[in-house]
Amino acid sequence: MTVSQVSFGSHEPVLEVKNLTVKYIGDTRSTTAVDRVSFSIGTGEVFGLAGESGCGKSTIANSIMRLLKDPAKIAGGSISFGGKDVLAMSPEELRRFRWQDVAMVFQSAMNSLNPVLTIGEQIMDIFTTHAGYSRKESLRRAGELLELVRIDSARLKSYPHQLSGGMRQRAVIAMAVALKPSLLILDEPTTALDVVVQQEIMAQIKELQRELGFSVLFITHDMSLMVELSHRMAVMYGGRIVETAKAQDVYTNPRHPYTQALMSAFPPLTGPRVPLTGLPDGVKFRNIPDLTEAAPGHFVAPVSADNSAADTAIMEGAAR
Amino acid sequence: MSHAVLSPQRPSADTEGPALEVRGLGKSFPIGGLFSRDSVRALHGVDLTIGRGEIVALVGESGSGKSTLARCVARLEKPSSGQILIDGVDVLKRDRFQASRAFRSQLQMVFQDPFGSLNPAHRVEHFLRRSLAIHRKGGSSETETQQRLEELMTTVGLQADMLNSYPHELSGGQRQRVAIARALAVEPQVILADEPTSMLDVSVRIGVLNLMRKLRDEQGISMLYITHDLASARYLADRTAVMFAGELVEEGESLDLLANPAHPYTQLLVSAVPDPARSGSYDPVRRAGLRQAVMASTTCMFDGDPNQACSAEEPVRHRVGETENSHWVRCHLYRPQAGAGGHALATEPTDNEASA
Repeated sequence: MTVSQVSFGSHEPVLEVKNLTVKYIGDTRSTTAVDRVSFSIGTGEVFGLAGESGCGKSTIANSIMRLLKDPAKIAGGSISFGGKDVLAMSPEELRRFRWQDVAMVFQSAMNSLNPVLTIGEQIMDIFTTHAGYSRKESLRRAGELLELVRIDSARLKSYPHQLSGGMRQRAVIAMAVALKPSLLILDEPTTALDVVVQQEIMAQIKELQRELGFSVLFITHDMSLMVELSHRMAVMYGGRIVETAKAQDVYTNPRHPYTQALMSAFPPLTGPRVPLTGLPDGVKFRNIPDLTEAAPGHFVAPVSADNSAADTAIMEGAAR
Repeated sequence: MSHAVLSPQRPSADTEGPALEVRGLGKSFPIGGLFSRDSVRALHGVDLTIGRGEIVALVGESGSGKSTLARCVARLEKPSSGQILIDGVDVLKRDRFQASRAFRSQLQMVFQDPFGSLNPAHRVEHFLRRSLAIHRKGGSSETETQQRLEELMTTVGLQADMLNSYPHELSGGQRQRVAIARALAVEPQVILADEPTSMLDVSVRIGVLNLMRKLRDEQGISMLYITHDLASARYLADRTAVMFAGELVEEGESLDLLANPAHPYTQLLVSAVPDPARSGSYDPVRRAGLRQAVMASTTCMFDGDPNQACSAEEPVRHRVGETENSHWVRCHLYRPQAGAGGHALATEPTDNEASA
């Protein structure tokens, strides 16, 4: 598929996802949460995955980390990381792959810190378990790591509840990049934070990314935030990608009606007040076809309001 | 929905004073043990007026006291001081111990979480019917009640057959519409909406905001819209008030306020909103300067203005720009009580307050 070959710059892709299909299998029926999704992320590239709750974006992140649990099953497709097949890894390989190759910051990750251990102990854990450093060396590195995200290394002795939400989130991000992974997955990293803190954390991630050169898979429903951070992005709906292009192109010229609705869900901060319409209640897209190239590097799933043309998504309830 | 032009200031038909007035509202919560006399000041001297048919947005970060204000005004919390006037009557004096039914029929709330605010064991019809019955707004006969129910559903953009649905069968946006319909059933003059869209999916948020505007335009309901999202406040509200550490710091016509924020805290908030149109505008040096100015400004933009004297002790309101924008800002020199603002800005990474 051509889509997976387009990446930012001419670098080798770090991560390649091809035709990934994930199903949640129940006793009586099963749901396809992710449906034939393909994308790739280049070295040092920030790739955004946008969409609303339930569209399958977190399921994709969990499949890449091989964190899916029953009843979720990867039903088809492949995930390769630096040429290695992620889906075929043994438990031992997976252990190394997680955190060393790919690290993930979960939604409201700041609550994932252990309340009875100090920040320092938790960071040292990573070094002693995954990298095999001595305790003394680990402590030194832990201090460096906190300073990297501009937290005073004296805070190593603090317990999580003694830090503010923003600091905790920063600490978690520092822990994620501790072993210099080549891919960082951020699943709604700032949703639980105030705007001012959110902007500072995003700036911090950008800076770390420039410094350490890792690639990022950035998952959020906030289009403004996504366009600001990502080089390239994809918009998901009902388990399928409906549009993918350079972030700026999606921002200036969204082509899929769903992308347009997402974009206009964020009123601007400048200019005159214009009436916006989101997606009307009840509008659904069905049978979303594969992407076609609408402009160089800009892939969109074709849509039509009626069923007349073959290979186009059906937009239901649009007349209302 | 017909709104070819979104008038920034709705021509006010009222001549009989504001719909809701809050005067000098304060609220402290006791902290510490049983014998502790310490308290934390969540609200202090808040003055806020909502005209008839006006939408006022209250913005601020979490912990700034906006929800405490809403809870006090809705009488879910007992204010420590101040007055709440509806139609010029102080409801704190009128109903001293708890909110009366008369008060509830004047003011209704819409909460943040439509999943939690609707009882899962009942059908939609139950919620609306109960509101109508308790406040005797259902008319004299069953046919009238039925008609009123269907009317309510149409008003909030739902189909009448959804009256038989259970909350779990509806989407988040539809549930929030039911919550709004329930508030409307009472025919209130003021609706307090505390972050009504923050738990909804992005693509249906605008629909709920448009509905709130429609209710104002068509039924003249006044609203206090509490949010942390400046862009939606600008989109919906006629006026916006900014809250910081339990006190209002700036207020004005929404477009003017966000175009020309005068208080450093407002500037801080405005500069932090993600906006692809000005991507890469984050400047840590300017940010540190703003934080400094919020906590301890040494200068005020009105220093030396003979008409508007500054004061470090009294929260003086300076007028900003033209009078018709009714834009004011609290004097920068004014210091809130020690520690009051600490929480909101404690996230600054370079701060030295070493917690125990």
